[in-house]
Amino acid sequence: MSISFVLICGGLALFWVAMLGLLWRRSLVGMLVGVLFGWLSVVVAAVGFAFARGNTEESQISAVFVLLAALISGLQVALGLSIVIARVSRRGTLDAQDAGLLEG
Amino acid sequence: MIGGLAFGLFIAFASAFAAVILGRNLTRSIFAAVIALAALAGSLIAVDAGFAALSAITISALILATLQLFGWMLVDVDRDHLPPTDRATWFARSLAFVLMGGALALLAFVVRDSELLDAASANTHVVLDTGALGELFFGAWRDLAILVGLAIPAGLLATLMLMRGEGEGR
Repeated sequence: MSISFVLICGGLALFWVAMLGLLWRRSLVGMLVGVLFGWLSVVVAAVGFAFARGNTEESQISAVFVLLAALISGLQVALGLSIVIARVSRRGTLDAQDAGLLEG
Repeated sequence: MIGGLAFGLFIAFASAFAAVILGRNLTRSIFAAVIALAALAGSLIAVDAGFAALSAITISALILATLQLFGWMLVDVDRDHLPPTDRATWFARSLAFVLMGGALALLAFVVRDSELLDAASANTHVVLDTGALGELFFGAWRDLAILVGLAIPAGLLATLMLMRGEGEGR
């Protein structure tokens, strides 16, 4: 069992948790945390594949990919948080069922 | 080192699961997510994952801090904010996610049984290329690849179907 295998399996497990948070739809904050862990699973899997490639120049591509995934994650959660803030200020609840319809 | 890495990733997985499950309460959810992030950071540092991975962890920590800050500003953190899920819906959702977890476990077994990652651990040079990956998933493993390809969308579809029209009972 190699380091890359453990990291890739960890990434798959984190992805499952992220999907759980997104599709469970219990809380808007839980969905945001799910988005965060989804992108972290991408990061962990990318690190695992970088280990699998060995110490080559191409492994630097994985590093760039990891940074891009982290930045997109930050932007995505910021956008989601702005929606959550707007919902809570209008309706006063974090219930995702109540947020099924976006209002103008 | 692999044992420590696996232990750290398991702690991260369990804490992330708790963060999602405890999403009804903001403080508990964020606290569990912070523990998951710390375990993940420890694991990546232990294997010397590099600057990029640690930058990603730092960005994630900032995101969590922002969530906590705005959460404290917006909601009452001393009580649960959502009604409990009824037993039938809870069971159906759990079954769907177990299906999806099984599909991901199958995918992990495919990776484990392949020789690509084992060769990489022996410090050989580039061992992963697109041809090898194609041979892995569509060569001798074609039947298993089809099974995985069916299981993942089946889990997702089952999940989505089970969550339709649940506005009345939660």
